[in-house]
Amino acid sequence: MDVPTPIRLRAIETRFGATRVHRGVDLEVRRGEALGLVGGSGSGKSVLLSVISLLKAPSAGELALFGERLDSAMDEATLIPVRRRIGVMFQQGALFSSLTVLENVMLPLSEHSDLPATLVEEFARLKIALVGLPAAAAERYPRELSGGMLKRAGVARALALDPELLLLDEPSAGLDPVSAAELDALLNTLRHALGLTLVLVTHDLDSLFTVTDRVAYLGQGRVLAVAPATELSESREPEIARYFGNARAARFRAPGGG
Amino acid sequence: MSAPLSPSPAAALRVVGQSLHLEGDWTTLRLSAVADEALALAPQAPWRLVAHDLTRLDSNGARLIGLLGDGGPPEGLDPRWQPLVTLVQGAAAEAPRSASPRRGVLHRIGERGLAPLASLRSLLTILGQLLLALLALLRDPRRLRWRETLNVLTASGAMAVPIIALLAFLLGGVLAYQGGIQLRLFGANIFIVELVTLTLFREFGPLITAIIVAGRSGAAFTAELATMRGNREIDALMTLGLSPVERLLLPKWLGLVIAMPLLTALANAAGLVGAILVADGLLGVGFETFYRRVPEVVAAQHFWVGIGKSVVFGMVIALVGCSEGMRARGDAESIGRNTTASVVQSIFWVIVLDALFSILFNELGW
Repeated sequence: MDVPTPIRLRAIETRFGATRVHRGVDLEVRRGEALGLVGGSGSGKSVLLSVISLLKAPSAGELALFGERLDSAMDEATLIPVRRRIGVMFQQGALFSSLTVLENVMLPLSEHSDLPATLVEEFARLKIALVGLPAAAAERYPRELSGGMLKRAGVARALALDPELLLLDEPSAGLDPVSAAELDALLNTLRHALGLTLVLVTHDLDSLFTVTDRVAYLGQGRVLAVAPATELSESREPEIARYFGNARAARFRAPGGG
Repeated sequence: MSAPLSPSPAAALRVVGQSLHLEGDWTTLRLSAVADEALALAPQAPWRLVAHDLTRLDSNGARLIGLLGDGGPPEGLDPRWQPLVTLVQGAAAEAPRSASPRRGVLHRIGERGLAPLASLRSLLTILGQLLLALLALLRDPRRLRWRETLNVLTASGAMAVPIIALLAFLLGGVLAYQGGIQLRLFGANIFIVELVTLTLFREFGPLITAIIVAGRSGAAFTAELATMRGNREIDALMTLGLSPVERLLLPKWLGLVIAMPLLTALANAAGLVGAILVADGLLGVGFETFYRRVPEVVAAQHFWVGIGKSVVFGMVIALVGCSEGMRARGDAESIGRNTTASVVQSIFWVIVLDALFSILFNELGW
């Protein structure tokens, strides 16, 4: 069966006022792969993630998701079927503070499907268990959770509709090394079992080496290189070499990294 | 639309003797066709499951299958879904089964009953802190945060001038109109001056001002402080050894205490203009009559009673606004809830105090 490429970006340009963030980004994400997005501060990683999650319209260029060309002129009704196939985990979780974790995960299910309420709750509880949250967390409000639990809850909500594509903005930022490693392991497990395509923006080099298949390096408003993390870290391109300068040191310290 | 429509059919179930045949796409958005049927069959689980004709599967589909089966994978399951089914069944075993322990009615009644006490306690705490900060300020006036206080005066005072002038003007007009119709019946047109001036100066001027300020500034104080708490800016101030009371609360409190009487005087004046225009048209009692009679029949004390009340109203509005803001937890929901509580409570206290003042002034013969 011919499966269309989940993400294809051609010559994407974005600007905020007079600032040009992207000056022609070309990127293709293959089905089932985990792609890391890295780059220095202000290189537009998170903005690119917003473009892919259909939150920010690029000012020029072509965006195709699941083989379908999308442009900013499209009305929301056309975009909704595409949005359902994408799960987004925001950096701080972005859980709705007035709802419990369970209600947060149930919300997309009950809004987008006409499943009976018992099943919606059943599925939501499954997602909460899948991301490794303790049973008691389901009834808690986001403000009662630790940072690591918030991220897991964010993943659970993003997975509610079983998306094909999961976008993560700095999944391990702000976590202690143990929680970060656990989250990386969780992403690997989920990705293989659920057949997910992952795109993650991250500064965490451990995540890059353990989770991603390929890494795209963003710089000067473009994708400077796309390669597996180990290969990219050997790059001679000065900017990339500088970025990974500390990466190798970190890898040698972490046993089994890569 | 060029979306590749799945050629496979939606989820379906077929009962064959003791076994269930699973067919089509068992994916979240295509499950609704079988959801009710599957739930009806689930109590008779475990069924023998046959999955030869399963075309697609996702974790929610796997969970539904799990509800029907015996915990093992269905017969004829495509090996590529094996890890998914294993993962889902493992997780489902740990999935929280029970709902949270429901709180009893008594528990909730108690909680609701105690809530106002907690807010009163916070109000008194903030009042105490403000008074202490005020004492410190009296001892060392250089500690006054001039800039913050002036900012509050601008935002809560100067910026409120147009809306308060407009509303007081309309209120004065309405007052003169309603009163004027009655007075005309008795031929007592001239008494419109006393009627309008007394009610405006003593009651409506301070009240309308207090209500607008509570809605504008009290709410703004609460939202600002609650957001700062959410960002941990208040904690940051404390770790820097700076007093949030002195830097944030006292300027707001002083600002309103100064702004309220000024705004009330403005409301009185604007209301009087509205009243004069209506009285002139309706009763033929014009500006000149007012100009002559107001100082003659309305003692200055009425004006000062209203102004005095407005100072107290200002104190209360700032106090409630600050107290609710400092009490908020800083998430989106609590900012909304505490801001609402701030406005409702401010207006509540303003009206309660107004009633108490009426009794007090009556006893004093003012």
